[in-house]
Amino acid sequence: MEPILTAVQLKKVYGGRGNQSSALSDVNFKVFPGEFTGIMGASGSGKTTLLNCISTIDRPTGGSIIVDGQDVTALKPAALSSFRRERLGFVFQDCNLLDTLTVFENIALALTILKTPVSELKSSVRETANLLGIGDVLDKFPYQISGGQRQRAAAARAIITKPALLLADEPTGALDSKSARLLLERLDELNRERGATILMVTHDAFTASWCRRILFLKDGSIYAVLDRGEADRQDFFHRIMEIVSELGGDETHVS
Amino acid sequence: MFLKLALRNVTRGMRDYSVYFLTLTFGVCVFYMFNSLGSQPAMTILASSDAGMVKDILLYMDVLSVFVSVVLACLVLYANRFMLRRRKKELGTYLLLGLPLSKLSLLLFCEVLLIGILALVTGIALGIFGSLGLSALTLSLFQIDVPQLGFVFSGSSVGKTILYFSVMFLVVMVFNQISVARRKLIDLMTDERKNEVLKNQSLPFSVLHFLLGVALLLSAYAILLLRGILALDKWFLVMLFIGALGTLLFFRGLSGFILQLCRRHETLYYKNLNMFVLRQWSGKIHSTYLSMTVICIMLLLAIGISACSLGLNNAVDSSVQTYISSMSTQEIQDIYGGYDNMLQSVYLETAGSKLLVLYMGLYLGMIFLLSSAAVLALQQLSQTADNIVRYQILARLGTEERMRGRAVFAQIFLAFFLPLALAVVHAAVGITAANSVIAQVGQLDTGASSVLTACFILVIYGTYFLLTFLGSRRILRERR
Ligand SMILES: Nc1ncnc2c1ncn2[C@@H]1O[C@H](COP(=O)(O)OP(=O)(O)OP(=O)(O)O)[C@@H](O)[C@H]1O
Ligand SMILES: [Mg+2]
Repeated sequence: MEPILTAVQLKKVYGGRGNQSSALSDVNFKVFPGEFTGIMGASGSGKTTLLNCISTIDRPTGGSIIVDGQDVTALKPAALSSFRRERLGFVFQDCNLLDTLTVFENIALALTILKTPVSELKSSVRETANLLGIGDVLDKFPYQISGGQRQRAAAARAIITKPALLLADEPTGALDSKSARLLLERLDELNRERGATILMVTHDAFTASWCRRILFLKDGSIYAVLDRGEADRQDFFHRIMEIVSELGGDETHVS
Repeated sequence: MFLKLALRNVTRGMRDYSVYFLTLTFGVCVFYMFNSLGSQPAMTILASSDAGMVKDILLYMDVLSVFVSVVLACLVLYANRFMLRRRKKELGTYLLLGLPLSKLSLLLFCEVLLIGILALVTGIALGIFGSLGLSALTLSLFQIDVPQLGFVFSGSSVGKTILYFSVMFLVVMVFNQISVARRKLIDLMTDERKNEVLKNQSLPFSVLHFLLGVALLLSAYAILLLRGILALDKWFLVMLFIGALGTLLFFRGLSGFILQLCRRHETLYYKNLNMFVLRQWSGKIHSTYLSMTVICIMLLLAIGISACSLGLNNAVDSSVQTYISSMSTQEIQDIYGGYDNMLQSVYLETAGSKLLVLYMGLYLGMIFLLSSAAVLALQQLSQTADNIVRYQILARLGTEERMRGRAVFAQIFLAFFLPLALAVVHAAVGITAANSVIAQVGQLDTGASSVLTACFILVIYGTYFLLTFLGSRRILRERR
């Protein structure tokens, strides 16, 4: 099978001459279609930077990122825009939804910029919203619904275009454990039933335990890769915790 | 050196300063034009026959200039505050780098001074050209041919302009000192963007508002047209009140009404970023409808005053013509001693009051136009600053730069065009009503005066619109 995402010798250096700081160095990995992959690491280890490079929001300093057979580091601005709206879906921790649009319109926005015909658009929005359990809040504005519903709305907007790759940066970061679980269940379902490829950044071992594979980042390079295999979530969670404490992260302590 | 840093800031930040600079320059230009009237050829001719009238006109202009300078000072302060807010981060960084507060104040002082000098020079230069246009206009209105139509340069008016504007700069500087001194470092570093509460209006309500507004406007028009503009009685006041209220409700409801209409028309609504633009517009209407109303009324005053003062001039002219043609050659010979003599004295008799009306009208009209355009521009620019995050989301979703640019354009176009459009409708009705009055005196030629007014509006308003659009697009581009 062809990988959907390949990162080769990825480098990212921030700052100019004098005060350079390396955020990513020599990151190599592959993601295959239908995988649900997590990225973990301590704060400042380069998770967001990696995701931003993949999502073409940021340009890497070196190396290449091949998504769906296309080297995205070589794309021009116009091509980048079309790449983003046609191939990628995003869920970010915050600033996700447009506060001036209703939930329905927010989800529909991803389709209108793809110039989808109206007839298709409406049914598609309804269907996706129902899948994520937010069918009954479609006519509300983002400030009128709960944080968990907002995240699910953002997820709906991200998956409605059937992206080749769904990127999520700490999608559960702002959620309580119950809403987090609801969202994760949906992502898991999407992954298993619709075969969506998901790449998710998280701080949190519990969230990470929903993934099938975890990449651990340390100081900008891959420290370890963990495969869930046939293990259940509980087992996987414990294995994740082991590596997290090895990494010296703060997640092992109750704070 | 300090001056160097200030100079660099000014030249590099010229685009940030643009609205501020433009307002100052236009202000100086208009101020100079109407304070150098004494050296206009038309006035020299008038002075030869009616020196008292010239004195009166100049006195009126002096008094008006005080009012105008207060208006301009408020505008300049408003623009300055906006600019300061925009540069907060930068100024905070200077403090963080160890620049003492007093030095920061000095830096701002130098910058204001530099821009002020630049604006004064440009404004006066523009004003000299403007005066030339004004003389051409007045002379053509008086149908007097003056062989040499040179530049009017009046040293004393330059002095007066510099004096008045120096006082204004002083006020701005004091204001800057206070706002820098009172603000702690932390405030300068963090944007104090208050979390605006987004209240989305209920759509049926806004449709109601809109319809009510239209009904009120129509009845105000009816009163005006049926009763004429001269009947300064109870009904006139009622008309003014209904008109103002109607305008307010019109703007309050318009966005919701259009939103409602477009939502019915789904292919339109879900096309490109239409949905976004409409929602954005109607989401902001709570904070903008009041200023839109005020701006619409200011524009109406600007249009009405300049058109009427020009129109009235023409009307007086034609009544003079009627008067002349009503006389026989014999009468002319008896009273004036010849046709040419008669023309001279008849025109000069009316010239004084005509000039007064014309100049006051144009002066006020220009200032109103300038104020509304400047306020609108600054408002839109600060709204754009609040919209950065929204446009960022659009960019991340993969909306092309061009599409986003069009959305920005649509938003700013709506803000500029709507008050103007309604003001033009108001003015058209008002002028029609006024015509029926003026026409009793003589025939009114509003054609030429409308064209002239339209030109003023196009230049001043258009420039502000363009600057606002470019500025907004830049604000949205630089933060990514
Ligand atoms: N715009 C930037 N300019 C300079 N350095 C940056 C920038 N963004 C990130 N960095 C640096 O790069 C490194 C990685 O940052 P990154 O945001 O990827 O961390 P992260 O793993 O997402 O952390 P967190 O879990 O706290 O979100 C950090 O040391 C950070 O200070
Ligand atoms: Mg991060």
